[in-house]
Amino acid sequence: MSFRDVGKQYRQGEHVFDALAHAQLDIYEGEMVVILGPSGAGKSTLLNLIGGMDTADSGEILFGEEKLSDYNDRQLTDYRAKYVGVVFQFYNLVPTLTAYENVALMGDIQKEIMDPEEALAAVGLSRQKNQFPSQMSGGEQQRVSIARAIVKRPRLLLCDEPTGALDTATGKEVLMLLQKMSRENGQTVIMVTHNSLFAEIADRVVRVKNGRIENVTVQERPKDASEVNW
Amino acid sequence: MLKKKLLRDLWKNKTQFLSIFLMAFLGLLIFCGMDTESAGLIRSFEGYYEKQNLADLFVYRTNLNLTEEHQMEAIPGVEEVERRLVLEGNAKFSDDPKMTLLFLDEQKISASYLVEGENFEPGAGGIWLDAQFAKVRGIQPGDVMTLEFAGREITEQVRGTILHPEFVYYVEDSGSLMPEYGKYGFAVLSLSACPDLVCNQMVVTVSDSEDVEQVKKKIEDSFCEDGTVVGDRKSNTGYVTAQAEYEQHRMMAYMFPTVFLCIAVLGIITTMSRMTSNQRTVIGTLKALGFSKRRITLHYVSFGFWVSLCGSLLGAYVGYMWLPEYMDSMMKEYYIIPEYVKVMSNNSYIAVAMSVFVAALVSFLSCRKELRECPAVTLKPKAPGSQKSSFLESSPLWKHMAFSSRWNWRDIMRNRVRSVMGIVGVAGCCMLLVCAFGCNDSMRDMGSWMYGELISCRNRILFEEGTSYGDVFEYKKEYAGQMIQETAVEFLKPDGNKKTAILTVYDKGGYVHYQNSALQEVRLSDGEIAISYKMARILSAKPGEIVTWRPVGEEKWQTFRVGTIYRVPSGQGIAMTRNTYEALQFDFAPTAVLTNRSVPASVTDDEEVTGVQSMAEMRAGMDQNMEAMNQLIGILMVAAVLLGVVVLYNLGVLSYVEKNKEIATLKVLGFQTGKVRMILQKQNIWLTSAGILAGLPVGWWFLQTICDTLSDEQDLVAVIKLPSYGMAIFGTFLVSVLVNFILSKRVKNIDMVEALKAE
Repeated sequence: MSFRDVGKQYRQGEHVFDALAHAQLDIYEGEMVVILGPSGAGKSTLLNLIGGMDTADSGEILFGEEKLSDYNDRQLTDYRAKYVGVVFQFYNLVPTLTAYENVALMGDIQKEIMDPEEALAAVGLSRQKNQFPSQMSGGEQQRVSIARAIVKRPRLLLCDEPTGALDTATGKEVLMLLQKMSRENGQTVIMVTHNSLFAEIADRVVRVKNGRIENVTVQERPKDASEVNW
Repeated sequence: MLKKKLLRDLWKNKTQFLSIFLMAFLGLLIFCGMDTESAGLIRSFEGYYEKQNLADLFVYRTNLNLTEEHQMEAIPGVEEVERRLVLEGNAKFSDDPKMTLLFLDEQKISASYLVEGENFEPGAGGIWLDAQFAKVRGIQPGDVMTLEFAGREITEQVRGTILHPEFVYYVEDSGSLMPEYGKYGFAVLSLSACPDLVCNQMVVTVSDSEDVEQVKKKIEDSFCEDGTVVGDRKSNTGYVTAQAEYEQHRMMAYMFPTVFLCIAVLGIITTMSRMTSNQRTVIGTLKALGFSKRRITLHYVSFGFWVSLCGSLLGAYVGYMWLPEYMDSMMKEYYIIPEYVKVMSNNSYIAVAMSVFVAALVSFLSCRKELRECPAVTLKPKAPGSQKSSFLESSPLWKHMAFSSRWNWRDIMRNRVRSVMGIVGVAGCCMLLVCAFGCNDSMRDMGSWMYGELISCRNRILFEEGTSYGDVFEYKKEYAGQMIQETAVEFLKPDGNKKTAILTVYDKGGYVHYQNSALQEVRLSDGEIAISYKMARILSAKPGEIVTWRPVGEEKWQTFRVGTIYRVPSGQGIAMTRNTYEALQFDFAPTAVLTNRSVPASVTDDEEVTGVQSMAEMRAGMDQNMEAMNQLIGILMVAAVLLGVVVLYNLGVLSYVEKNKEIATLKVLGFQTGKVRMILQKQNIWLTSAGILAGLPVGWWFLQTICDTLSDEQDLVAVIKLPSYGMAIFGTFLVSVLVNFILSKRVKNIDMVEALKAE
């Protein structure tokens, strides 16, 4: 995926500000990318644009040969359904569906998904499959959220502060799981965080500040998620 | 999986969706029930008329002979003609009940319907008796009875009991309001029973029902001799009353459900707006996960769709199965036809489709806002909307308002749709109660209005047609009474058609009163002709316009300018003093004497007296017939309470869920549970008061509309007495306060810690 001089503006009252300006970025298949920056830096905007959840005001976004920035609403929806899996900070599970049903929900929009039980097993939640979100801990809910994201075998797994609402131990488990997805399944994992320690586990680190990409570093030997402490 | 979500969300919000379901259910129950019933009435009556070949035209004149029958048959457009003799007589019982006697040669036109016994046989002896009369009097085929008419007596066997298409709604005379079975009746006999008498009526059918007016005109032109009167079906009381009845039912089929469906729509707006707003993150997530807008929209639209579909279909089914039976059981008291059928018209299907479409559309519009934005925006919590100060907040009054009042005012302004829905629900409840009590007042008032205010005597002595003035005058002297003449009169309508009605001429005395449109007593001066309210409406005659009329049997048309318009529940027509009448060169021929003195029963034995009516009995007779009305009032009251409870309970639950955090905060700050409940009850009382203020005039308008759709023969003045207003207001408050009292118990159970933790 490539960003060429991408810009996004937001309006707040009469004031217009740049959430992202002149962004240049390349992301390669199978990489674990960490987008790092303080609150309000523009990292979520970047993630939203990658995931086709928002549209750019200027520049070009390319997904392989496709020009994502020219997609209309319908094409973007198809793109999200086919290629993107999302993990949210607050899990965003449908409260009236069980763990299994939340994962199986993806079967409603994608025909070829993996067995939801398999996805739940991959995140270690086979036993809790019939529980509703309100009956599970935060860590368990986040794992359901990951299972929901991976069940359709997306090419991009986007994670917005996936450990933000979790304690350290549970957070570490989630990070390990995401790294496993990237290393073992060859999935591109893009994670947004404000915690600079997480940069250690990434193949590529994108630093964002004041709506601009400050620098992009490539790490030859990223750490194992199990070694990260915060 | 979205289907599972749908079902669980429905269950989670069951109170709100149940109320939408109930409103759709009630709306369609009443609509389909009433529509099926009114369509069934039309089919039942029209089918009966067709089967019995009810005459299209009635020609009245003394001495109608065979030549004239042939002459009539030769008129283009005339299909069949029958001559008959119709006489007023009485059956020989201790109370001499009045009988309308039809002597026939054959009965191909306006044929009677046999209930029990043998079919009518032309030329044979025997009596075919009114089945209702026979039932009350315990007469069966095979029994022998005596009839008195035209100064003679015949004793014959009752060979059959019958119904007759010209007597579906059979009242004693033009002044009577409701049928009283057994008190009078009709009978069919063969014309051979009195060969010396000449026919006085011809019944006519036309080959094309579209041409009735034209044929009527042709007959009027061909039979222009003195005293020929041609009437169409509209001159038959039963025919017009039944027609007005199904019009009235049809109107109610549209008015009542509108209220329920409006509430259902408001319910969908509040429920769906709240649900989509609460599920904003879920919507954003679904979008982010790749669900298309169409898919998500369909999901949310399906809430309104399925709930209203289930409610509407069940309502339509129950309405179809139950309401017509119930309504017809009341109709059977008044309208005598062989069978009542049910017909589900297309309107019912259209109504179900409309209700579901509107519900789905409203669901769509309610959640459109949340669906319009891109997922990145929907995923973020909604920015709080800017709240403008209301006019009250900028007024000096605001400073003097208590905390609870300010809090409630802001809550109302912030939740306008919910508040409006509450007001509409209460208004609907109050409107139905006003209407129910108003129906009761209006109907009860009709008896005392007619037989107390407009005719203020105790007894009315009725005389045989053709009784001389001198004879009637003797009775007037003996009973210190007032003579009146009630005869048929015909009007020339602007379109050239004629309309028959009643002319009332009254002599000096204090028993006849007239009231104007505002129901204030008016005295008719000599030279003035007053017209009844409904008659003026039928003739489309406004004050100052000319009305053309003549007594039936007279050749020369008279005119007068519409001045005084009077109201009378039954017996529409014109009225004038004896002096006015005589000044027009007519002879005053009184037909009744009104008196306050007691009249012995033996008076009915006098040859010239056909009957004595006690006004108290007439009034009591009406009260007995109020049972059907009481049932209708019962339905209205149940509907009112149900509407109030469902709407207020639904809104109450909504309001408590939304205010959970605020209530918890108040409790944390140290407000006692009782105090918090009082604050909430205050808002409820405000909204209820607003609802009542809106409901009272609408109820009054509703009642007036119902009264206005009565048949042309009847004029019912909408009356709501002060205590009825009081009861409607009290009833509405009671429903509202009780529902809120039950709901406000929740305040005690609010978990402060949980409520404040919630997002």
